[in-house]
Amino acid sequence: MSGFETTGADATVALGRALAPLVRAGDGLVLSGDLGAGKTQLTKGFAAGLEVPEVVTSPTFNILLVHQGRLPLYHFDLYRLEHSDQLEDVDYWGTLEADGVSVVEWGDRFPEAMPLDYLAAHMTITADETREIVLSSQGTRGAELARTWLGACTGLADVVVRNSDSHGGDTA
Amino acid sequence: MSFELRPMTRGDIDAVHEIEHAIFPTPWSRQTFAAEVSIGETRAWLVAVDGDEVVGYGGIMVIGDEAHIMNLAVREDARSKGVGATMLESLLASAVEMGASRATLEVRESNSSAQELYRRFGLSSVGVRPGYYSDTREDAVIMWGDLLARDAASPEAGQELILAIESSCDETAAAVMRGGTELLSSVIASQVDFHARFGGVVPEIASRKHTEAIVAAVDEALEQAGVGFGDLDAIAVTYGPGLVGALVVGVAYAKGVALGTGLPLVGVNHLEGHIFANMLADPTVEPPLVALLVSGGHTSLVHMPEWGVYHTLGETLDDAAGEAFDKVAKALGLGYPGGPILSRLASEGNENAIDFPRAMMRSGNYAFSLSGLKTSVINHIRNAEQAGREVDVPDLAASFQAAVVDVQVSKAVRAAQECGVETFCLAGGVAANPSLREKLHEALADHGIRLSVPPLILCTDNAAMIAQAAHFRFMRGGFLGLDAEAIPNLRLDSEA
Ligand SMILES: Nc1ncnc2c1ncn2[C@@H]1O[C@H](COP(=O)(O)OP(=O)(O)OP(=O)(O)O)[C@@H](O)[C@H]1O
Ligand SMILES: [Mg+2]
Repeated sequence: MSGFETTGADATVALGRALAPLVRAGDGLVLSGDLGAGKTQLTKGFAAGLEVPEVVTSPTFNILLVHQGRLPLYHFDLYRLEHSDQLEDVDYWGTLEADGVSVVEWGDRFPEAMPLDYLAAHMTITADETREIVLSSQGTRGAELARTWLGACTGLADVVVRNSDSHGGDTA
Repeated sequence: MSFELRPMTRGDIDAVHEIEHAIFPTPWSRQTFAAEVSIGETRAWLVAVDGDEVVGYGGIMVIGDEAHIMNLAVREDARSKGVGATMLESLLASAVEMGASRATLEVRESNSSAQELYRRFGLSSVGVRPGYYSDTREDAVIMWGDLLARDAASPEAGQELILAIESSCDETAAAVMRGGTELLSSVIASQVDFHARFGGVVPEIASRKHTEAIVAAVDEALEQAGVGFGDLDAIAVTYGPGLVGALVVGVAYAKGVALGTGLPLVGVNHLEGHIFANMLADPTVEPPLVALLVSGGHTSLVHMPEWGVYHTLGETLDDAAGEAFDKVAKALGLGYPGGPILSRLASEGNENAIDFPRAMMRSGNYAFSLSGLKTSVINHIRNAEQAGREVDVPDLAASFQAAVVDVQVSKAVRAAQECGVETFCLAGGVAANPSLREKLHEALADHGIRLSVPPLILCTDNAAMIAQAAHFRFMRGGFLGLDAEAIPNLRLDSEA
């Protein structure tokens, strides 16, 4: 299992920031984990790294919030959706393939509706201030992102990088 | 800031030129302004002044039945206060007096805020002049609009009949209002029995909840009001902020009706609508005021110094207040919607039992942060489980609620005092929370500030509040062009 352990919200924000330079249009990041695990915190860092000027807030109520940075950032949150066919109503599939990068909180909510190629981070609260973040991926682009993200995070303060699969592979 | 309009004179030209020079890359010369002002007859030039300082100016030329908007500018530091819109309103009124029936102008393609303003006055883009601006070779967007449609739309003062549509997120709603005072109907689609109406689900549109709902909601609203499309004077619609897929349904429908009937289209900001729920419930509520907007998707403090002018003082940096209530209720396994259940349990608990953090309480600004509190509650539950301790749910609910309410109340009171207002409005679904109402009422009363809270049905999303806000826009001649689009992240402050 590859991934990270962070101590403090700032460390999780820094992880998100480190991912930003690695992405290009069409990339998708699926975030999962309990309430308060830090999905929005991680997205805040990612958005800052993409040079999004405004404050990134939780998209739970709105389901999709769009920000403009170096690339458009489509910040989804599937928490409130009840059926996967509601994804259609928010143009989920069209947006994933659009001109920007997508981050999907509660992105594992509908297993039957996962994107084709993505990087996934599952976040677990291990103590008040610590989070374990396990990476997995689907498709070649997702695997590449997992690999490069792990590489980009060595040396970040309060971040432990666990890279047990340095040869790459579909599921890191 | 307060300002008034008066005709431009030669004595204003230095001040006008200074603004012109500061904001336009290829400014007009003093001579050009002097020549324009002296022409008379076919021209109307005016300035907006704050005291004796010029803060904006604009002018039109009327040839035959066509008015050309030649220049319209507002000094950088006087923007977003309605100066541009007020000047435009007055210029277009002069144009009609001078015999114009339509108006046209060119605007830089990159100047989206100006285009937005013109659109609100019923002008739409009809083409471009490529490379029109010599400095950057930028294209000019040509905008055009019918002035008489605006005029024909003025029914007897204050008696206009408006159909308003709201579909910014979960609810689809329609309402009919006369003259901004008489609410003839207000329908929320989730409360209408569609199956009865359609005799089953209509297959093609079954997945498009709003599309299906909007037709029925409008029909029902018109029926309850006892009017038809032909009786209306305007169509109003929420065009942002919200979920794009939901907003476009309302906007497309409203544009369709406007096109089909020739009625003017009035665009309303959803958050503005929430504030106007207060005026709807109590017509004596008027600016200057400060509003606290708390719902599932919003937590913001807004200063409204006068009609049509909004300054967002602060917003949440992460979760909205209603969202925090729902998520904490979920973590406690209380079911949905969590807010009401949680606040009921809280009334049985001790709010001092657990010392949850009051984030941003002493930040000195008006920003809110609720995700830390949400996580503290979750940690509290998790730690108790791990230690085999039982969580006292009423105590936890009461302590959580107090942490939310304390911060809201303290910032609300400070904002009201700092803005020097005597009226405070509560808006949004969380306004239903009894503890928030009580504590806010007490704290404000201590400072002689009155609190307005609309009835619950007007606090959650509805179209009656949109109709109320639309009335004020209608009276000021604020219309959207038929090329208007839904704007998911529409800001309140950009409204002129
Ligand atoms: N190591 C950490 N990483 C991330 N967040 C942390 C960490 N330690 C503490 N926190 C706190 O945990 C909270 C995470 O909240 P956040 O809203 O980001 O979670 P989320 O996963 O998006 O929740 P939701 O499911 O409600 O969307 C923040 O308040 C943050 O300050
Ligand atoms: Mg979140």
